[in-house]
Amino acid sequence: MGDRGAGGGRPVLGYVQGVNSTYHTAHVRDLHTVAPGTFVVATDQGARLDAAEPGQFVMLRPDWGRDPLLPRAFSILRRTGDRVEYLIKVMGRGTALLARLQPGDRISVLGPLGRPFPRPIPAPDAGVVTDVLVAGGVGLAPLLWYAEQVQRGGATRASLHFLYGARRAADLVLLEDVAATGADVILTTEDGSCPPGRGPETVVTGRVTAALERLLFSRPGSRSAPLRPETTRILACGPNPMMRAVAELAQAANVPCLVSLEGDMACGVGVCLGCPVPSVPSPRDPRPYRYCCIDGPVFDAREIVIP
Amino acid sequence: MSAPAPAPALAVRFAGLDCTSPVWTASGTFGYAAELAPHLDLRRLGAVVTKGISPKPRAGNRPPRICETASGMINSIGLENVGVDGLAEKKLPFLRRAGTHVVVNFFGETFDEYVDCGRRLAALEGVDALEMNVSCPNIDKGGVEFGVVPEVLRRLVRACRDAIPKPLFVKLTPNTSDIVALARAAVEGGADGLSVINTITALAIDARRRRPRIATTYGGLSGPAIKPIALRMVHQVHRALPDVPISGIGGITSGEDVVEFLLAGATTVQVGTQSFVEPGAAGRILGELEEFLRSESISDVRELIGALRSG
Repeated sequence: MGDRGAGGGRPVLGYVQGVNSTYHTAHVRDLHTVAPGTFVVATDQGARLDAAEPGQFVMLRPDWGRDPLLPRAFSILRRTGDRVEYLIKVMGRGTALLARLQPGDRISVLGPLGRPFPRPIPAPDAGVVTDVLVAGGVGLAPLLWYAEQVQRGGATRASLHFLYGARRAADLVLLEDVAATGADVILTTEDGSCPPGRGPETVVTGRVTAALERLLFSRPGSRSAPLRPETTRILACGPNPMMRAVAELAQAANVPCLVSLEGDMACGVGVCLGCPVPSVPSPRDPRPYRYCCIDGPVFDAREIVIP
Repeated sequence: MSAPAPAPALAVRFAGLDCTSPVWTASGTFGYAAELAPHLDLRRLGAVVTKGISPKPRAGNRPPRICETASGMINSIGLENVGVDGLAEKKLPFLRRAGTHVVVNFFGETFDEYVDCGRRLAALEGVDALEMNVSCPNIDKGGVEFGVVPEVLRRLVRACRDAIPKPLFVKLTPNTSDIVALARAAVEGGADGLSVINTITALAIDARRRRPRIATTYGGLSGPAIKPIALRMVHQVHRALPDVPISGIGGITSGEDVVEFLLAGATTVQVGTQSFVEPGAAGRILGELEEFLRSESISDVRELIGALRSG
């Protein structure tokens, strides 16, 4: 059981253990493409995911017979009342079939699962904590929901940085939602392209980790106030190479860092043992592996070796 | 309107175990039961079979450990488990209260480890029966599976049999040209029942990266893809050894699949990979079995065992 709130001046890294998962049937409400090969699918039955928190995931499986066989794991993009949304990129057969879902189609849902990001620091103390969100590609999903919850909690603008990168501008999605969080947003594209209707000054060319490095280390000439390591934490979600780079920067800056990882999951509940993540064994937890589904998907970057 | 037909009888007796139904869960797909317990009524299952237990805890293989294939999946978990003491301390307290029979799957890396493991497990209160996993590499014999050579299998089962005063089942490997020879060997060694089949050795390849999809190259194929092979092997073993109870395993996803295994000669079945697909699979499948019996006016599930008509 983790610490659910903020304590003192130091950001709390305690986790909330995922509980209250159910296996249920939901129906697709709508599905819309947000970038080439990337879509948002919305379902009903949000009440069944009442306990879900940003960073948690579900196992989704439409009625697709015996092939593909297994459900697929996705972070929850957001839950609003009865409506639940998922941000999905077509990667293989399963996601290609998901992209063809129609309103009214049935979909099995097991969740919420896994450990979420720590809760946003509540408003009265929020001013002392700086959350730096680092999202790559569809890794945006859990962090966007997190930022929306920070905003709802009344966080001040200075307390939330949102770094969001993709290979090219066409892959940056839900930008209006990102802007609406009120965070200090930095968008990056590796090829320097800009989203339609936005000027070149709105996008930084390069990897999102380069932007993080500048935010953490280059103070002179910077517009924002210096980040203080003791009151800053990094929350990141994206491909593993990016997560490794984020974790290294966080360590160099002596800033706590939480990374959300993907794993090869068959079951999502710690039974199949298909999603091991090599760990840094400690006296508290001497296991050589942790499991993405039940120990993660959100990990303290110091406790694992990112594959 | 006539009165509804009485509920069909589901109870079966398997090598001394009185089971409330023929539906069990398969080793490695149901954890230690607590993980999936919220999703079904364990008391309706005939038994749960635990993850394979070795004398000491094992960490398992490096990733990737699993990959999906057509109507199936390949795994190479590496026999990760909590060990005998871990089972006794952390897992059995829940299992004892689960309201179903507890069958503990076990293995070792040497004859002595098998015997030691089986003896210690059999001594634990709450362990109703043991299932030997003989698909483990024999490190004294260059990693060849214990279960593929009939004479080795017979001696291994005999050694364990003498140390285990509880029902002992042997889970046969399908990676053989003669499943009946292995079945005979296990029974000659003293097995009270046979679990048929374990996973089929398989390979999946990532064509672009030119690499195997799992770290150990080969793994075990499970899921609906293997069901016809499992049915054939259950049928062969039952025909050769009609008095030996068989627990049929391989790609069971529906009540009708259960019926097919019973017709082929199984007395019970084990739901495996489908528990990954839906956590309450075994409970749903049992409900479908009951519905099948009702719709076919079969009053006792035992009528189906070995009742396959000739082709």
